[in-house]
Amino acid sequence: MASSDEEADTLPESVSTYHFANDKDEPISFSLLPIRWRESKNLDDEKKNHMIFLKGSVDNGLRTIYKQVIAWKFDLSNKTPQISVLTKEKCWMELGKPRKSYEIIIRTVLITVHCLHFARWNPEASGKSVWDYLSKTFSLYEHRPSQNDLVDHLDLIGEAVQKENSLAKCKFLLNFLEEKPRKKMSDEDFQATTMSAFIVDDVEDDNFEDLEEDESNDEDELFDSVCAFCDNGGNILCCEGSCLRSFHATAESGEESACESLGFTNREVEVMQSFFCKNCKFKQHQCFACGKLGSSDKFSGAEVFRCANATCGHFYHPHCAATLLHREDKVAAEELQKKIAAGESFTCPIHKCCICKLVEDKKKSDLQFAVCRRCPTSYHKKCLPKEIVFENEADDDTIARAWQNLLPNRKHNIIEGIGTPVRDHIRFPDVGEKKSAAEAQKRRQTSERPANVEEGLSKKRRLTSEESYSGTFHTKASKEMSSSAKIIKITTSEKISSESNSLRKMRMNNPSRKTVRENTKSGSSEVERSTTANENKTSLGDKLYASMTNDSGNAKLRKPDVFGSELDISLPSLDADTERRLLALVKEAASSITLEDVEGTVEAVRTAIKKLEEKCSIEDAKAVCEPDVLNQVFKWKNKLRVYLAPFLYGMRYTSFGRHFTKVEKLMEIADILHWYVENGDMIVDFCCGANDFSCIMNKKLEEMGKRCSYKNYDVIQSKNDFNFEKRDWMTVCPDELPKKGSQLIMGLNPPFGVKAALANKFIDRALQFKPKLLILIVPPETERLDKKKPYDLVWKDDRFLSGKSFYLPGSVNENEKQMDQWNVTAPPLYLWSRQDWSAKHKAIAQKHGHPFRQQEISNLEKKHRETKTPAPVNDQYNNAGASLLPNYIPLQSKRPEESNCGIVNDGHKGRPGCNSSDREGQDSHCPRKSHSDETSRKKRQGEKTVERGTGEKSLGGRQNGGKKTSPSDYKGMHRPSPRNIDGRSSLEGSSRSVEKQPQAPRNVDGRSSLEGSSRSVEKQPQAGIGRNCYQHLDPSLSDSYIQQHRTPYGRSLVSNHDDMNRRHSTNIHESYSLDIHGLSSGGYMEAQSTRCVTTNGIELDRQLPFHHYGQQGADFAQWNYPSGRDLGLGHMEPASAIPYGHLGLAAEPSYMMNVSAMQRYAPRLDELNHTRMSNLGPEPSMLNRNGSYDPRAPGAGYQFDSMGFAPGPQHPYSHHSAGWLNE
Amino acid sequence: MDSTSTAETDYAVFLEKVKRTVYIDNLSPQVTESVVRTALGQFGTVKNVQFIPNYTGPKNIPCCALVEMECPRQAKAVVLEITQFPFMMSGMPRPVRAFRAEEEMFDDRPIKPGRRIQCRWVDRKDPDFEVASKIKRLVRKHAAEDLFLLQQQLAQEEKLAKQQDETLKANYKKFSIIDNVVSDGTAPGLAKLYNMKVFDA
Repeated sequence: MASSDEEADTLPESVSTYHFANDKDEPISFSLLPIRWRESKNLDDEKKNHMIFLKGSVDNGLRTIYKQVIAWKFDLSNKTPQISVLTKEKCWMELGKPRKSYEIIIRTVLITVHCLHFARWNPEASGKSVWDYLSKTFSLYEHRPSQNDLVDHLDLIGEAVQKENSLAKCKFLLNFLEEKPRKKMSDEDFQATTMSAFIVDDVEDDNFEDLEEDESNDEDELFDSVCAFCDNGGNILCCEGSCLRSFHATAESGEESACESLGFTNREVEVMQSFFCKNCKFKQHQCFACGKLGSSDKFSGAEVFRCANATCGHFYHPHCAATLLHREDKVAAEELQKKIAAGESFTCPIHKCCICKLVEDKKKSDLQFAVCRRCPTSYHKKCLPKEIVFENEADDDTIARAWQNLLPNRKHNIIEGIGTPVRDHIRFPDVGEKKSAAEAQKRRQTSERPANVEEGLSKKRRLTSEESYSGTFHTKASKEMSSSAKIIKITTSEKISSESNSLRKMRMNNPSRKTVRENTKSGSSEVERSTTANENKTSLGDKLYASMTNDSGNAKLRKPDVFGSELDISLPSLDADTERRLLALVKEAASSITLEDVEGTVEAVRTAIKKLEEKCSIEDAKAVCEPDVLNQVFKWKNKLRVYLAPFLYGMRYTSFGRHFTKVEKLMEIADILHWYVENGDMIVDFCCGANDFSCIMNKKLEEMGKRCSYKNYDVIQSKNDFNFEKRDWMTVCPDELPKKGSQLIMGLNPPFGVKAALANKFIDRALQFKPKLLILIVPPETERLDKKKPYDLVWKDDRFLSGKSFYLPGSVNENEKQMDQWNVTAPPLYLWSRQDWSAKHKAIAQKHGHPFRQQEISNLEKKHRETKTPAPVNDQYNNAGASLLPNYIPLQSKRPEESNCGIVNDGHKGRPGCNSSDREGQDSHCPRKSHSDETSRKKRQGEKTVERGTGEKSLGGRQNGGKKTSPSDYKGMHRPSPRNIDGRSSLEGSSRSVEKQPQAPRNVDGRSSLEGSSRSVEKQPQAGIGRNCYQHLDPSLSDSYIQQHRTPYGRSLVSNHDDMNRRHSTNIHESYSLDIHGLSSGGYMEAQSTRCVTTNGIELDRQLPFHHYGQQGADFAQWNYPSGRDLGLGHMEPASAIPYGHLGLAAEPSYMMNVSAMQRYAPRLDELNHTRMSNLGPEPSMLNRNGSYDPRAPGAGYQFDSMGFAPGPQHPYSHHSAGWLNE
Repeated sequence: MDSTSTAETDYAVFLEKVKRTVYIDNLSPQVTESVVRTALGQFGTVKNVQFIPNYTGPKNIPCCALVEMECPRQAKAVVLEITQFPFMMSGMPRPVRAFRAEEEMFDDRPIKPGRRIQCRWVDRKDPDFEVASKIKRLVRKHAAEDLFLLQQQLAQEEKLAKQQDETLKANYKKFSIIDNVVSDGTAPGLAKLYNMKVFDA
């Protein structure tokens, strides 16, 4: 490089253990300095804004230097990239190894430079190899290098590419620059992006992201990231017991700090499923105050007790704790001592600052705690005594005593050599005192917790979820890679493969990580695209044959993985190893939220609230359970709910599959749409499915004499080829379609995605073409087009797609009929017009009275509203469950006497919509199974009338009763009903009910509720609804239910609808229906695609016309609830005893069926559920139902037999489904 | 002549059928014909579904079927789609595999014209005897090895199922505990008291 005269001629010195700081002595990245390219223009060196100083040691550590620097440069011409900085004295200094703690700050720059270096030398390298190389180089980093790191230095990269020809050739860089990725592609593993497009939704929801990061932080707090022996980080093993400590497991992981470690070998650690330290294992813990060992066994004479705080984990003698908590007041101390000894929960002194006695506030840096690791002492950052210095402030003279989260108290003398106090503090039972730390020559360098810890914990959890529940491929590969892509895509799961080893348990070395990854990668690619297998379908056989004939002796020892045939079979040991590792991974991942955690946290929450009820201060409560912990609880809940989604939602889980709009609906849409189409237009269906819409439009338009062109896209080939292109809509470019857009009409039914994420994507893409019209079937939470672009809403029809408007292609139910589903919340049909065409289109709409449905609906609704308190859930009852509605109406009108609730009755009577035909239908259905329930129930209603209770009062009472927690206040307890309830799947309902009534009878099952209600008196309408529900589930069942049905579910359902403040407690049926509706509507939608629908194709032919259902449903829903509730409550008790068999929710099988769960889940869960019944309420019951489902009619409405692939040897496949039914 | 020509036409018809047929593997034993029909009906018209019976070996293992489509193009489409995307039928343990069919897969195939199969007993002294018995032994060995592998696989599946079950239960338990504390109002109540906003899906 050119060096001016001013620059020194001597060889550049090399600095090691360096770091850069600004004038305030805060660490700062040197990339803020101006960069010098080869041309070395030393122009604006002087006018920098930062005063940056370099601190480090030169001459092999002999001297330390402290110089101001003004520029930096990097040199890619050698084998390794070289970074140098220019000091103020115009002398270049090469940078060697940075100080550990500083590494984090310059991570991105280092990665960028290395990336450029690699790119320069390997211009043809693909992105993948670049990342591989970077990962290897930066293997010690917590986080794999990813695009995020480069994003920070886009400018730098850009300039470098311009200036250096060799870089300009590199494809990867060029692509990268073009791409200009956004920052914050959190957790998107680079490799993972190549994964199949099977991912249903790509949620980069802010909430979720926040969740993720917060979680990781929270979880970090739960588990110590530094070794309890030596206070150093690195490869540590976390104890899963209540002590919340971590240790260096092997001598080598503790090498750096001369830690004595636990003494395991690497192998042992790998094999270990779960680690419990000796203290936890033998239930003997040291009192954190005095250090003596004592028994912590609650059941047999505990001497030491754990602090109630969920994240604490320290044990104390009652005496020690009490003394510390009440230093001055002896009397109080004695009292407290007694209480603690009696088992009452207490918070140890750690949670209040020594100096000012207040709690920590994690959000304010001043009020963050520095907690001593050897004794129960904490300080606010601002209260820290001067002698205790943080590492980054410490220089050579003062020994750092405080690191980011550690703080040995000054009481504890720090031994210079090892940098910690004497390490004799840990005592294990039977192990005796630990030997004191050996003296080490080198100075200890603590590895501080990196600034942004994305703890693998969150990923582990994801790992579990994916692995367990994606269930598609039970191969090693799939577990790690593909599983994440499958059914459940919780945000950013792909990192699992990369970070899979940074599990809570172990942070494995990179090489091993890599091998696993490679294996899994290859395996997964094998699995996902079994093209390789297919191309040569005998390949596996051949290989096996070859291997076996060659080493026939070893054949038996091998365990070739059928799918992993790509892996070299001649390395069986590797496979076994990998297998084990993977199993361990799964196990670990599964336990990332351990049961103890959960229990501990929940305990803390309860204690905290109890304290607050006892009028303790908020401070005290916070000491027990910090706000973050509370947040954690919710996050866990959300996460676990996603994991368990297949089981909780059962049949509705099919919503993640493709849903095609039914042909009838398409025809209706065509009937409406053709008015807006002009000659010469192009109609584009960007997600055509079975490609029926186009054909129908074509036919219709030809009839009307308009000639139009069509284009249809979908990723999966459809049967019908009409103008079909097998393409991903996202890849279609604007030049492929007419430019102007005034001839473009686009639609129709894109995949929804979680929170309409996918739908939004499709729409955004479509908007690029500026079509004049967009006709969309999308969930209501989709972003409105008038907010995004100049579009106007011509009309919107909420009810159009209520009822069974969609079907699952390629699926049959038990009766071998096409499976349909209806939505809990029917997606509206929107027609959006570009603004310059709006007037015209609105005129057309006006002329033809689009959408006609809306008017009808509004009429009906108005009538309803008169009679009852409007329920917010109205819209949500669009649900197909509506089929019940019509029934309701007539029924109600016919049986006014049955409803106790006058209001309701009136309401019912008032309903104009009652179709006597419906009623007839109902009556006539009596004998028939599907609807017979209603009628038969109706008959039974007589019996129950008495029990019905008094409408409101009972309702209220029931609700109160139902709600244990807030008896008088059900209104207040706003049930998340619309959200949470899924009418149809009792599962959902039950789950909700569960929430409200932990003890609700288990039969929350929607169906059961129906049953119950039907029993009680109910009016037809309810029955209708119930029926509907049944329909979902299985009409045939209803009969059987009738007998036994009690209202348990009714109650549970009811409880959910607290806010359905219906005063009419009409038939339980009604309420059921409402509930059901409510359930359905509320349901579960939030997190799920709104397409979740219950199943049951069976009833199709028996159902009453759907059209009105939607409308009426809503109406009915309102009043049904109360009644349902009544019933539920009334009959709860007896109901509780009812075996779940009745419930036989169709859902039962459904969830099992659809889910990846192996069949054996069903029986097992059932067992579980049984025991849980009493405690948990509906949710378990749902699962339970599966097991106890009684012989429902064969048309049980579950479409899939439970998987039967991995049966126990004793379960022949054929028996499986039977087993379910008969259990 | 006649017989040969009919044999040839038969065979030609058969070959044409083979081209249109898809061989599906890894089917759950619970899959029925209508399931297959509907499932593959997404991609084209299914003319015939025939399961390949498993006369030997354990009963509860994946099955296979031959599905005859309307035209070779559809068969190709089916194979392509199935290999590209994991395709589940009647449950989710693992996806099915699809290949183009081959003649040998059909056990009811017509005799290949121009081919005659003869059987005869082989005498011990016949040089072919050795060869024949070797082949026989080898085939048996293959069968045994096959069986062994199969059992290994089943064992693994079993293990995996157990594991998944445990995980499920464990997760469920955790979930229920958390759900309880949330749903009975404790946690939200505490959140209110702390003045915190919680995101509860």
